[in-house]
Amino acid sequence: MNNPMQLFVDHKLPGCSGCRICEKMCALSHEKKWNPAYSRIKVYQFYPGPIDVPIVCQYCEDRPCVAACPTDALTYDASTFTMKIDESLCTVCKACNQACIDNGRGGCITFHPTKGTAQICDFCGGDPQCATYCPSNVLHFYPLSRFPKRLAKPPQLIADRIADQFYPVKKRIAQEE
Amino acid sequence: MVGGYAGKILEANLTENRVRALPLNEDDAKKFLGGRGMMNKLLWDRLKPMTQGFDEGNQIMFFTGPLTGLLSGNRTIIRFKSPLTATTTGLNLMGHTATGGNWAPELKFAGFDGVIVQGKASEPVYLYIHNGEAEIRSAKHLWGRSIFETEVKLKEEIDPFTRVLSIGPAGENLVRYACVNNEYFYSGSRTGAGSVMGSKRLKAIAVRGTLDIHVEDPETFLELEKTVYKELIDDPAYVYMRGRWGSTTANISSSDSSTGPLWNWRESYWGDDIEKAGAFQFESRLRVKNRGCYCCPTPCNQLAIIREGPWAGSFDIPDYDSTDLLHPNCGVTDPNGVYALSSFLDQMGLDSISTGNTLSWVMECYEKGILTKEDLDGIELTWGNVPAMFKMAEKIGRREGIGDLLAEGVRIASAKVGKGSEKFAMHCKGVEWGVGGAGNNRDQRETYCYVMSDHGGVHLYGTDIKGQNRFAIADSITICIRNLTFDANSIQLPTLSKALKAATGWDLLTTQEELDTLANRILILERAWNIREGLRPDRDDVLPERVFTEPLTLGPKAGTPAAIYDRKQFEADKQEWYAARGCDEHGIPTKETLKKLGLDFVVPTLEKLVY
Repeated sequence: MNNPMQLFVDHKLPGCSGCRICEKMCALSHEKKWNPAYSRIKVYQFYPGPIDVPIVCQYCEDRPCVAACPTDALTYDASTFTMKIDESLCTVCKACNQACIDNGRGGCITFHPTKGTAQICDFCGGDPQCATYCPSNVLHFYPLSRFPKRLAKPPQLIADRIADQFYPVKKRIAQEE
Repeated sequence: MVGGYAGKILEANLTENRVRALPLNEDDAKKFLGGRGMMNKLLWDRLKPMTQGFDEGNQIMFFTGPLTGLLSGNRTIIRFKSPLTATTTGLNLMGHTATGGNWAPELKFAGFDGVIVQGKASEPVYLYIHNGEAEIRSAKHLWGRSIFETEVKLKEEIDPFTRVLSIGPAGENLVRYACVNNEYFYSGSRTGAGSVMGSKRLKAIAVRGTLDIHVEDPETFLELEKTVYKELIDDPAYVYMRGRWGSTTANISSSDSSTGPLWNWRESYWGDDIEKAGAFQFESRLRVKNRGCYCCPTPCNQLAIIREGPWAGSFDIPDYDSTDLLHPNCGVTDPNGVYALSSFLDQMGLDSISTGNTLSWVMECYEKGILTKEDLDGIELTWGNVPAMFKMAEKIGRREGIGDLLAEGVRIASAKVGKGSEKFAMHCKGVEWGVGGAGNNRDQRETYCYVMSDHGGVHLYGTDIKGQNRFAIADSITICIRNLTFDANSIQLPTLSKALKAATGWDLLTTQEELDTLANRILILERAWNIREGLRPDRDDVLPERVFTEPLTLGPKAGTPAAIYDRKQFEADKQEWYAARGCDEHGIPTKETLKKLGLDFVVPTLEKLVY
């Protein structure tokens, strides 16, 4: 069965402000570090804009990343509905992230800046700090994963879709002709 | 090293093409915090007296503070000898500017508290800083490119998460009020930081860092991160005002309360015309989304796109000060024009506040016949003529024709043009007025904010003693002033003190008195430095003629004593400020004040010059 909860990123307008509080809270809750480079969620910036696109693991139902891991370091725990990484087994081959990208997903796995090992969102054990502290109402923790893999798109594509939203055709609003 | 700070300062010598790391002086850090305060001390120690803005000996410093990268600390503070700020005799003074965005935290993550750039490169270069290391790289392929292109290009070249601080063509061409931008629109715009970088042939500083910040008490600090978030997030003024319209909200309110600039500061109230390009028009026609600086829970920048007309497709993140000076101050009523022009100035690397002031000054000269169409290279710069403003801004940025004169700023331009145009050249110490704090109030606030400011007529100096102290502290710990008002919905002083304690282990700013003393130390050192560089407050602390001689004729202030600033009142206000800051009646800090503030090293220099 699908996991019941999902970290839903609402790529709407006005949407993400690019403040990166999510990155900071993620790095703090997992690594106790103040540098967002240690985060599992990443905010990409696109121009013109800047348009900000937060990318985080969407918990796809088919999990190409798990299948791609040669050492079984990356696994899905069906009892707690969370992805797990065993750092001692990770060989830093980055095949998981490549599989994510190759399957048309966002490239949602990050790598520890010093150790190099893979990092993936684990919902902070059920209380994702990024969603709790998102000031722009973009990150939500919802049980709505009917089609999570459809939401896991590359940042460039999401940025294009956001850009499509802000070139509307201007019409006059009138009560009568 | 003590927590909060990275402990190292990067010194890049472009003449000798070498970089080295200097240790951060902990005693100075305790005394001056960081950012603005720290740089005042460094400028005092390092810069040769009487260096001018464009001299090779000038140094430009980019600094962070103890809370940069923590809480919502994200300001980059930049100080240097400004080519724009000047005494009435033409000696250059302190330059100061600040910008938000993501650059300062990234510098901290790269292992440095600050960057000092000195010397002059033989050909265009950019500085790349990465995890405790730095190199000077060639920027020949970037020279001449706009700020946006430079940023995109460097991100492609290095890594998409690199943070870039760069200058545009205006900075390269030494326009005296060129700005430095990061993330396209976040400008360190005032007093010509861009042109100082340009004079050193430094196109950009790119930073990428994955180091951690050492914090003395991480457990407490983590709790404080959450406390501060809650203190800031429930701000109704944010949700309904800045959250929707950004700081441009103030366009309408300042005009209505008769404090805005209109037609080169001639008037302050624009009636219903202000709505034509004000906040509501902005929201319905142009607004796209919020943009925030690093870890700010109340992101107040608004991304705008121009959707129609000749400039369709250009982007901008407008700010109150820049748009107010391009919009009512130049008599523009076309919202698309205002924001397109603001975007164009960001690409060129021109300060939109100074450019707005310069253009409005030319418009007034043109209206009065002081400058003719021939003088302006055939451009009819009438009030509200946006296409002409575009042409003129391009000329200024490239220093072509009349633009070469206007690129010097209104102080020099009006002195050259003469014919009474000095009377409406709205600048203090050479720096064209910003509007944010003091506005077109024609009262004490203008004295405090524009005249007493040691970096000229900037809008972020503070309009009263308390406000100035807050600004000095905010710029030194590098948290945005909007998160440090100490009102409701701001970081409170006890929280700030706890945060400094948890980060550095030092007891700082525990009481309001301590904050005032520290702020006074920072501000008095600035003044003393300026006096060393040629400032004589008696002669140089002056306002433009207009505020004393031409009363406002429109709006609620018309016909009342508030329409004009009384000269006697101005003198009284000046003396009041001198007394409050511990200066004598000539505006020179007294020896007692200097000793009380622990600035003993200043005394011998001032003794030689003024005592």
